Amino acid sequence: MTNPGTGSRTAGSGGPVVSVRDLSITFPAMDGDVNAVNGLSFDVPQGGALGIVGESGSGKSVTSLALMGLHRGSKARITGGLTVAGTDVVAAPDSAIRAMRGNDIAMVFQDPMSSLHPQYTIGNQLIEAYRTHHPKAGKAEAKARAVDALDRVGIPEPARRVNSYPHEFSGGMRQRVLIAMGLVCEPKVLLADEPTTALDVTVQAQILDLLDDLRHDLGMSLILVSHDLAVVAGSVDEVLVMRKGVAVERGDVRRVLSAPEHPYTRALLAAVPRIEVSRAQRRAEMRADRAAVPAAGSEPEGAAPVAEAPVTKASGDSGELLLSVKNVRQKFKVRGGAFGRSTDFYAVDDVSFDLYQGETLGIVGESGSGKSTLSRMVMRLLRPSEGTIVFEGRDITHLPERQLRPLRRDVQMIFQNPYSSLNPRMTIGESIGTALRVQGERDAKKIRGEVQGLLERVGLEPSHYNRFPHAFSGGQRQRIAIARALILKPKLVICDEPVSALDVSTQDQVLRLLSELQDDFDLTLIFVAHDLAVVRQVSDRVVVMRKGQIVEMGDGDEVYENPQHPYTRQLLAAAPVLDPDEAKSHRAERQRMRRQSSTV
Amino acid sequence: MTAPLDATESAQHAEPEAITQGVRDIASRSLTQIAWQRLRRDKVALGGGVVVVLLILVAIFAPLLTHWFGYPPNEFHQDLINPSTQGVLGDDPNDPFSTDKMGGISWEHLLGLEPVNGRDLFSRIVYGAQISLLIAFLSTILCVIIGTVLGITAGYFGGVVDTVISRTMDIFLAFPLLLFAIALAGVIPDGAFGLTDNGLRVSVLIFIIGFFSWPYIGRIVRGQTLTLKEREFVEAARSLGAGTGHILFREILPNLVAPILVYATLLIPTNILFEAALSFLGVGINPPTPTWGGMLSNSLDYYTQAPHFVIIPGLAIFVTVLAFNLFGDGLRDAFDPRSSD
Repeated sequence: MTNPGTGSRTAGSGGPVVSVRDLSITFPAMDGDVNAVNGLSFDVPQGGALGIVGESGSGKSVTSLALMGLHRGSKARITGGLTVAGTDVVAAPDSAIRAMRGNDIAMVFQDPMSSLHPQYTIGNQLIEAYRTHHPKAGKAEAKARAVDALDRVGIPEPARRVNSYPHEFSGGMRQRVLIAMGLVCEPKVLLADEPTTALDVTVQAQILDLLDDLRHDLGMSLILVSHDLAVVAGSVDEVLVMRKGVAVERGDVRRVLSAPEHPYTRALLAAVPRIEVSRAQRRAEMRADRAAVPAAGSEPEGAAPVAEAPVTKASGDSGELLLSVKNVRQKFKVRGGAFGRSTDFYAVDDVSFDLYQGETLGIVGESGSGKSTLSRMVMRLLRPSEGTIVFEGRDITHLPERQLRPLRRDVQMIFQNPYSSLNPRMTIGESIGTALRVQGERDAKKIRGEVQGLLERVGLEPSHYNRFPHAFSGGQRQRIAIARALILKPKLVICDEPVSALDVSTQDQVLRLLSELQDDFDLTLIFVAHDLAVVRQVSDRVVVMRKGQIVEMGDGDEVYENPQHPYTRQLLAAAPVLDPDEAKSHRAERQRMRRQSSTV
Repeated sequence: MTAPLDATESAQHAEPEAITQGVRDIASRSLTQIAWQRLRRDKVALGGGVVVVLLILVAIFAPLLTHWFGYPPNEFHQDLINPSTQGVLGDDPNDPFSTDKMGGISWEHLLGLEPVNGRDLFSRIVYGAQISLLIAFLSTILCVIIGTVLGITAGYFGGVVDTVISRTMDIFLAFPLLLFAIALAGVIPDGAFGLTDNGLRVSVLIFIIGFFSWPYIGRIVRGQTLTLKEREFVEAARSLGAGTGHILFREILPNLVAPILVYATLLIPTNILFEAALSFLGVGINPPTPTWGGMLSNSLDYYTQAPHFVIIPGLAIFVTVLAFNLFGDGLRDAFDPRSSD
């Protein structure tokens, strides 16, 4: 289990700090017990780093909570061995567990927005964390420790900022504060459960770099839990892949990523969108896959033409102009300041682009970049404050709702959250059929027929017509949402983060479906996402947005391979990659850029 | 070293049959059905529900019940009353002050007799249930209608509309309702609105209670609408070309049914208490029509001679309110999305 490769281990690699033997966790539930974790074993040596990877429901979070002894007081039944820094977490008395938490093992949670107490200064919270384990320490000593810890996680002016409240920090800074809280007692193990999932990609890179630095500087062990293989790749020595409570593969990170043994790991790896794979490659690959499937059945000859023909069409600029957006701005009033005076804030600020028939335009940006606002303006769910939007030669910028109805046939949207985009009180058949009904179709039989046909097309069963959304998983719901968007046979479909709420393998399936449907229905797509790799694989052209403005626009491969704007370069360097060595070179690149910007 | 990832292998992984796998068995059940299932497991709420149903049946079949088990509610039985104490006549014929401590509870008079006039308490309680439940239900329905319409309007349209409606709710909630009701009951002359006597009294009570309690429902509906209209399915409906009517009545309203039902159930006991209070203060229904509040009010003068006269109507109100509250709480738990899976 001791890892070859990474040499820079500060502490001597004695026995394992964390040792898990045949761990099983069971939750009693209404209809029988649920085995959340089943026969899990692993060790983490001192100074080592383990990544636990799995999709939702794989048992990774349950495992990390059990490591902290947080299963106590819940109904969970736990068997097997669980030792953290010499403490037997299964059998030890509560007092021993409390002494272990924070002192030997500290946890960083997923959501930095809700993990800090809003009513206390961060200094207060850090001092409390320290004094819980060092009751003899004086206030001044504890405060010095707190400032130290903040300094170590890269909070500027720690001595002053220690008196700030959580709301005075951004998301990334709060995550740093949480890490500082974990560090203040100098634990032997830092357990980070999805520490970057709620963060933007550039901030994610900073936090991962920080964790890596801390691990090497302090000789801590790190357990990094994530749903994303790429996040883990650059930061750990060993990786454990979990599925449905069982470890399917465990081994050195290079070995697992380059030569996975278990089919599930292979499937997972294949599903991860790769930033280095271009649109053309990916499309050809998908079409080949698709052609290979019917080839087994009726049409053995059809394979080659399907794979070849549409590729030529895909090269955007040959089509005719479908949509033209000129200098649009969207103003929001921000309340605040003295006397409730409001200030104007431009969520989208002077954006222009053209879209041609049949192409896919990718829009990338971090949160707050205005990409969602922009897509809602094109959809005319929002009325632009300034500028014009021309669709098929018709100015739709200021059309009133009633006159928009015919336009709705041509422009449709797929929303981000499959859990909130379907009305929970309507059967999915009704939800999809609504479109036909509001567009004037009265023949119930015809509506039903069309909906069922489309359900089949997106990979569901026609018999699901009368089911309610809560019976479906996230990926299935997104298929339903896609069916709803396509029922009117639109020309343009705007996809607003359509896969960001899904697991990787589901994400891959949905992306494939979208790509197939684009071919079959001859769709033009606007694909909005924060994930650079996903955008690259679906887009002919890419727009990079930042703070409401377009910083770079161009042919997809061009933007990714030869980025012009420094922000694009920064984004690309921050994107997590699967190859551990490449991840290291990216990390070095980021450090170089950070040094550069700090000297300027 | 770049990971030698085999692109062609990715074809096999998609597991197409997995797409439709795991559409759960509960699939075709609606959220309401699931809530009902959950409610059935909640024995306390179910008990409350059973009592509520029994009370409603009692109110509906009051004439039949009194025909079988009692006497007409306004029939005097002064032969059973001790003229010197006004209490129910006791067993001892030699003691001029003999009173029955049990208030005359017997097979003949299931809940005993009223002092002074000797009316049968069982029939009066049963008929009282009619008035109490009628007023509570109708006023709650009025609340729900006003509250839902104004709440959904305020929540969905926002802006000035919201400000005006919300401030109106605040004003209504700040109104000294009891004083207003007392004043109004005194001011409205008999024969107003073409209604006389109890018809008028009942309508006035329903109107007053309904008209001043709607903000409770209105606030909840407004709050729910505010969150619902931000949900993506509303945006999705808009982008399909749906008009305001469709969005309000087909998309949002069905999602409001559960909270409205829950809060209406919890509002009914409040309204029962309110009606009792008004009757107690003498501004409710005119005597001799029996009401629980009115009986309580009368009973206070005789609590030493006829303690049962205090206890029985009090118990009737208590049991009714408790049953509705238990049922309403259970309903809320059953519909609560946080406890859902």
